[in-house]
Amino acid sequence: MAFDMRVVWDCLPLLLGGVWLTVVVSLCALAVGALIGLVVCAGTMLGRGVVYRLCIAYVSLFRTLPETVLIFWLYYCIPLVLDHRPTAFHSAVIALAIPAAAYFAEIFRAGIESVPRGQVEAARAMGLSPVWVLWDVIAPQAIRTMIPPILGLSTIVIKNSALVSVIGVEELFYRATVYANQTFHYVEVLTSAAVLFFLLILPLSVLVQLRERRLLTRSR
Amino acid sequence: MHAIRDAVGRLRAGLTVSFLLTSVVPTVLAAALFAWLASQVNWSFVSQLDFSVVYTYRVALLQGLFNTVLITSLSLLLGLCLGVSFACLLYVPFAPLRWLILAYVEVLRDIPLVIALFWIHFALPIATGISTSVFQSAIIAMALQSSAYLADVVRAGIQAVPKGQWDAADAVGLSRTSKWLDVILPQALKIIVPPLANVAIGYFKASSALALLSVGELMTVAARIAAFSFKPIETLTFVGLIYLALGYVLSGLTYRLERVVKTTPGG
Repeated sequence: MAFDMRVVWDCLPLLLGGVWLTVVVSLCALAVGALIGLVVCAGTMLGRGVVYRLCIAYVSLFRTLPETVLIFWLYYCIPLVLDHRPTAFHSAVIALAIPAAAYFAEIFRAGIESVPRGQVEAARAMGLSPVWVLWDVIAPQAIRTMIPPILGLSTIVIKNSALVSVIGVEELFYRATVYANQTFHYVEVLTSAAVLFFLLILPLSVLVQLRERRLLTRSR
Repeated sequence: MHAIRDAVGRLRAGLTVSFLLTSVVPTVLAAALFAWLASQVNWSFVSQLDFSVVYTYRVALLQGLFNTVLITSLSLLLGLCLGVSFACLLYVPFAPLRWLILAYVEVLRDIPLVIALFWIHFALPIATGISTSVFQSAIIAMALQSSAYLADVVRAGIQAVPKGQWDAADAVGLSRTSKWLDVILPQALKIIVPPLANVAIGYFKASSALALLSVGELMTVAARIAAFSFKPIETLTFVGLIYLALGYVLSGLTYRLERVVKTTPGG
């Protein structure tokens, strides 16, 4: 069977709309995840107490639980448990943000811990208050080491966003499967969707690899 | 009077700003969050949950779990064979082959598993005329995807084999086959045990995404039972716990495996 380019041109507008929704869902999930992750990270840095244990448990729980299970659970169980039905979009963002937050918390913690202890001690000895130590000494160094893992996490979130098609969010994968099922042009439509996902993720993936290589060569 | 003043003084000394910020404030905030969540929950519904549905469908759930383990292990085994081959082929002095493998790795790493799965199940039969069952499609998709990740992991392992080992193998006049099979690969595979185990756990988790094609692994079975019995909370919570338990067991095994590998003498 020949690859029919006309089918690709026909389905492209629909799929590009899906790309837009994929990007929006992923960005929202990353933003919410970063916020929750910041709080959880602060909790894990307390070192003791109930809140510390809760945050450690959060990270370990949502790093182990498969995303698909969480997506199904939130979509089917939240309306029953809370008497409140979130839209598919909200469910999707939350379902993607919760595990992302666990990874964010770990990335933030690793980034902060990668700043040598002597830097903090030196800044404190110079008389900087803790807030300024965090802002002027820890943050600039920590953020630099956090960028590659955060970009890597974004690629994972974009890839996982294909899973929320199962709860009816009309993102790229959902549109591709529905269009392909209706027209039977599986080869053309699914290939187009795969290429679009590839084009979406490739720049991030290349950037991660370049940054990692640069960090490696600089630390040598 | 003195006793009271002492007690107040001691209390004041203990209530420093840092104590307030690191202990009292987080605890109060966490308590407020949980209280708010608890106030939102429909408790009359939650108290009627009936977990016997899990026991009713125990055979189906066990079958699903068996399929999950079978699909994950088979596809990882295939993926590892492919990954090792690709990593070794990177050392063949023929640039186009190397570019081809690097492109393959990048493409498969940048495409979601479900896209690869649906492409193999629906598009491949049309393109090639060979039709696969959902089970076969799932194994092929996971094997291809994991082979890309594993090729990268194995390549890193090969690079980590000390240069002296390559030189020594050449110096004693080992054939190329013997150099790779007896010297380089055994050491490389030993180095990559920890990342290999992480990939394995990742694919155990990712296998739940196969439910989008109803492959018949644990998540598929769970979704079916949830829809059929109208008891989604009980079913999905229980299945989530199974995934968690197995995930933790696998992480624990990984940790022990790493220590065993580290303490084993010799290459």
